[in-house]
Amino acid sequence: MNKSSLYKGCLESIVLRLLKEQGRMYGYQITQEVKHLTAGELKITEGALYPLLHKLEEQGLLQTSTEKVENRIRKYYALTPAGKKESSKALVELKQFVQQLENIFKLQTAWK
Amino acid sequence: MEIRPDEVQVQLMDFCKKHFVHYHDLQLELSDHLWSAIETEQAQNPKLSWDQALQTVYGRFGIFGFAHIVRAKESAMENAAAKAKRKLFWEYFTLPKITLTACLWLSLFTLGYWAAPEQRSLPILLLSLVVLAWAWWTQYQQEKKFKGQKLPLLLTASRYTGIPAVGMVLQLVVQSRFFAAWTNLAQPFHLGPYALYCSLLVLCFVAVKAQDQFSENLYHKAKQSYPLAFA
Repeated sequence: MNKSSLYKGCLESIVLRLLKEQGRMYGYQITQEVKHLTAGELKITEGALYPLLHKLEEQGLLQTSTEKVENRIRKYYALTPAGKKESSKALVELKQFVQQLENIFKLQTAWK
Repeated sequence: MEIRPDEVQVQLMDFCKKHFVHYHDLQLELSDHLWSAIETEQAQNPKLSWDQALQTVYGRFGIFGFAHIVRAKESAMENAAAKAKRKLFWEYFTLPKITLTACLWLSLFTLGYWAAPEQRSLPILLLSLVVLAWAWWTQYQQEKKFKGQKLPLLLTASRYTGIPAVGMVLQLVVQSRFFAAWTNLAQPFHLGPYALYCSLLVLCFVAVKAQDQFSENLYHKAKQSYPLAFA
């Protein structure tokens, strides 16, 4: 099974978590950081990342700022206070999900 | 051909424009992404020319190119604008602004309460015309400000949503009262319907005020975030 599809469902939680740790990041930096963290297992496509970032911004979870860096204008994303809360919530939910998966597979091993 | 560092983003923004990204704010973000990705590509493969790297990076956006991102951003901005306007609108129905809304409604209602039923059409008609004229005036003033915006921004493109609805309601109020007064000047206007018209007028007033505040906030945010679009 392609591991990338397993990661995709957690993309929002991954992005929120990254932003919580790093403070602020720009789009390309997020794609590279995710690729690095998952040892290349998850390559976020641009077509998936930007709509997600824009959706989170619309929901008030992210705020943006622009800055001139090395001859270019760069847009940074950072968590809003609501985004920080959501990030913690997403982590708890993700841990519960992993626990449930573990329970399912432990149970199935026991049946065998 | 070597491209000067200060020209790179301009060239990449032109590339985005040729690929149907007309908004300056989105062009800036995508051009920075393209530039960073090209740098990584060329670091990994120094023999790759700028154009070849650009085509490789653009290819990662899929067969629809930037179209999916533009659509998603447009939809996100429209939702964000609607949410911000709703928030500003409901502020007039929570403390402390609700006191202003209540005072306004009571003033309008008192005006008609002491008047004879045959004379209640007149204040409603006049006040509707005043609110309508004020709505047009505030809109005109805001548009005058936005004329200074030289480049299209997705951020400011969603500022018009909701205006036609307020205009239509106000025009309906004006027309219905105008025709009522025209057909029969002495037509009685009972307190119940009068109170309803007062509420409608106050709602229109609050909607116009919220829209005006939204445009004002948006103008400052856009000017601060994208000064080049206003240069």
